[in-house]
Amino acid sequence: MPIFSVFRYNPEDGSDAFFQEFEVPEKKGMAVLEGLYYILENLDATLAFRSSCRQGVCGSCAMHINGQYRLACETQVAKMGNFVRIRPLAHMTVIRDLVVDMEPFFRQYEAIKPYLIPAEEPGDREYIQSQKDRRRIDHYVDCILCGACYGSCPVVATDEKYLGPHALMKGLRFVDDSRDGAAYERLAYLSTDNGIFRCHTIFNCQQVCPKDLDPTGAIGKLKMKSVWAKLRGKLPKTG
Amino acid sequence: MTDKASGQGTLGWFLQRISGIFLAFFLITHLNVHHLFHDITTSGLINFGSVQENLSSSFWWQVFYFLFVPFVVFHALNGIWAIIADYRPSGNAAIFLRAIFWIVGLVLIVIGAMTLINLFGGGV
Ligand code: FES
Repeated sequence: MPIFSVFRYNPEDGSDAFFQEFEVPEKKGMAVLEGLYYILENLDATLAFRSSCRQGVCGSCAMHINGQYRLACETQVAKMGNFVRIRPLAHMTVIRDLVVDMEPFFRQYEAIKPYLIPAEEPGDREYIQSQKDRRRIDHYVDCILCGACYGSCPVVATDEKYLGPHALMKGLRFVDDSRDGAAYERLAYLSTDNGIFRCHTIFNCQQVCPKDLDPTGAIGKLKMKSVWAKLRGKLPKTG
Repeated sequence: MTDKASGQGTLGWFLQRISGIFLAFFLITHLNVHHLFHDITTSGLINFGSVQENLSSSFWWQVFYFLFVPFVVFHALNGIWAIIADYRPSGNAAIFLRAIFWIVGLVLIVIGAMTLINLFGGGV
């Protein structure tokens, strides 16, 4: 029977954080999230964690499982061996057990203006985008904002103003979108001291991304785009 | 994008790469000319005199080394600046540090240039 060693912390009762062990009967094809539900329903109803879709779509269940940030719902217990150690996402305040305060994460995301800024007044028909243009952003649209990259990034750990891999990659998603009209303004903002040039190309985000996306590569592309815009005198001033 | 943010790192990042490529070229050439393929049985030991003689053979060596020094200094200080930027110095501290970097950089370039003038001018 696999042992689940789960991070417990309740700021309200004033005690320190600790790891609590639970024995979870294994079923074939069982995911770590299922194990957590087993604990919640049968062993300890006070355990707090986030989840929703149970199929790797909503991004609620990212946590640190046996040494790596993963989605609990997509991680097979059988692949983790007999000992599963679970911690919450890093670099954010723990609200309780495995639940962290995602406010900084979404604040950074909001800062890059994650919506289309069209060049002209919107007409009354939908925007046309060719399949080729759409394929350029396919990869980045897939991000489910789970926070695995954010938790794994050492730059995020030391710098709370850093936009973070998720926001920067979503930045490229809009810079590269053929329907968006604010690419240079976006690049200018992403090139400030909070943005792409604080990335030290550590590749943690790329390694942990449960959707196999490549935030590091996206940041690299943004750096090149920023340089070209600068050399052509198109990068607006900021600050 | 009206959020308040500080300056951009685009140019510094770009010049760091460019100067890095130049430095790779400079260093390989420098090592080749002075160290790697120096045969002591025919050319004798490397010393100030031999280097001086070697480099006086062409005007282009002067161009080469007068470029080498500022590139090294720029690459080094810009690199340290990139590390400092991670610690986000406040506005005044950043201005103060930048001033220090400029002074240190210029002093180093002047010292390097004086050495080179000495070398190419035939002094010791
Ligand atoms: S529960 Fe939705 S991604 Fe895991």
